Amino acid sequence: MSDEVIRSRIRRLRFEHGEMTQRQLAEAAGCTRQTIIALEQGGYVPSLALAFRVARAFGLGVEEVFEFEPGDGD
Amino acid sequence: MNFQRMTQTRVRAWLATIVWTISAVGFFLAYFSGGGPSEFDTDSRRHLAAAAAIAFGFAAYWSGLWLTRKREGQVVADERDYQVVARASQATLIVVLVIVFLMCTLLWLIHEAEGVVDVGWMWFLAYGCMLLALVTNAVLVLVLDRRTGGHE
Repeated sequence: MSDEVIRSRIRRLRFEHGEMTQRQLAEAAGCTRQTIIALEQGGYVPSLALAFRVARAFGLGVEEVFEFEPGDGD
Repeated sequence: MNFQRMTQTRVRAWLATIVWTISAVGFFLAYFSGGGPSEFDTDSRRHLAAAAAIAFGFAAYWSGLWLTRKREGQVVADERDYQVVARASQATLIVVLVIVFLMCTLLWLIHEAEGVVDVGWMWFLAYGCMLLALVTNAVLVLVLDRRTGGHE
């Protein structure tokens, strides 16, 4: 379970959405800019609710924004 | 260090770290100066100095909370902040428990032969633990906030 990784495509998606700033995305997703930075750097795994809010801010589904990599045990 | 770009949680953790560290240093100086723990409970000047150090802490911290209050329409904290604060509180509890245990054990070991512990040490245990908890919690919030990748 510790090998599981959740990666996000937030940085790329921001640029694909008219160079959206971290602050704009944070406001759209209802979180702080520091959390967006943390998500982009992979330092924080969001709750399901936040993942949905971020995905909606881009008009996408959760799995188009976040990628789940199962560990060796799965 | 740009406070404008930090979350409210991080700004308040910095505030608490600085304020309560100053307060703790003031308290320890007042407590250990003069006759030390054995005369603290009868020395009203040192009592006053220790009380002033702690009063400074509360006044400065509450003023800081007011200055960093939530403004209209601002997202000041989110789930990551709540998670960081919760984990810091859990770790603080363990740190304080361990240090209180070690302090009490040390006092017992030192004074075992005499069979009594100076009552002045109770002041140190009471206020020292409070200040230790406040400083530890603030520092742990800063550490965990950094570890969860919220830095630029």
